[in-house]
Amino acid sequence: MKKRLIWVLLFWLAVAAVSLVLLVRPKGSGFGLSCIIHGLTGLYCPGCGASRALASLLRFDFYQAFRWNPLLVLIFPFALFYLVWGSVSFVGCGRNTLDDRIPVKLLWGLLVVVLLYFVLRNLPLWPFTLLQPTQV
Amino acid sequence: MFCKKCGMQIDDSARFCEHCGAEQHPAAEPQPQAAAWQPDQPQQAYQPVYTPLPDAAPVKGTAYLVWSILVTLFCCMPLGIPAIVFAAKIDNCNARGDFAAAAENARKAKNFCIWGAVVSAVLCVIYAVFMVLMIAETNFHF
Repeated sequence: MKKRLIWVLLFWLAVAAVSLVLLVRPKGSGFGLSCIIHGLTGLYCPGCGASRALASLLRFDFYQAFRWNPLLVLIFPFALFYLVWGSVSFVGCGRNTLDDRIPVKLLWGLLVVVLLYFVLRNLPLWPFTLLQPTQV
Repeated sequence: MFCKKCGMQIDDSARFCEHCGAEQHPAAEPQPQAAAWQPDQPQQAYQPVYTPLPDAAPVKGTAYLVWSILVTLFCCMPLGIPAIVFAAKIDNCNARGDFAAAAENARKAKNFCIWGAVVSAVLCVIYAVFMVLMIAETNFHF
């Protein structure tokens, strides 16, 4: 129980550290350090703009966050709920009791949505280009 | 002892699992010893007692799938994708009754998730160091 509490505290400490880095860095800039995948392939992967979106979320700039990565912003509250519930549950009984309540079909659906999103945000046509990471 | 359904460690005398509520079979109760030696019965041959391994409960795939998706989206896509693939196999293996393969796939999915998180954490640290250096350079001109 005590060991599990330490693990959970370490996890949230890491989350806090990453949040701090995201908050302190200048807005939207990568200091020329761009993503290797985007640099090599030119594609926007489903996670492209994720760190910029999270940085915007930390500044409560929800619209800009949505424009950096819309799917991530939609999933974010659910992911946060999963992690918070999981932390409490893990300290209590060593596993996430929420796992028993999540239907696997929902996760498969989410995977299909993510893959579809991957394809759509790379289409060079107007309504789909809105899905690319965009500075407002 | 361990719960027969979810595999969590529970009190030896517990009738129900405190984690999942499954009823434990009363096998844990001590067998009553023979009251007295009965000369007309032949001595029973020694029989080894097999106790099931504590991790005999099948691994459920849901948690692995959730974490794989989280790693793919938030951390490191190249390591998140194989994690998803292995996590997806867990429930299939369970359905076939191949619990060993399910556990093996769970182990692989877990490793890929951990490495995805570690890679993005390391990148984050490098990024932070780089950022501090850049800020120091622009502000202090050394």
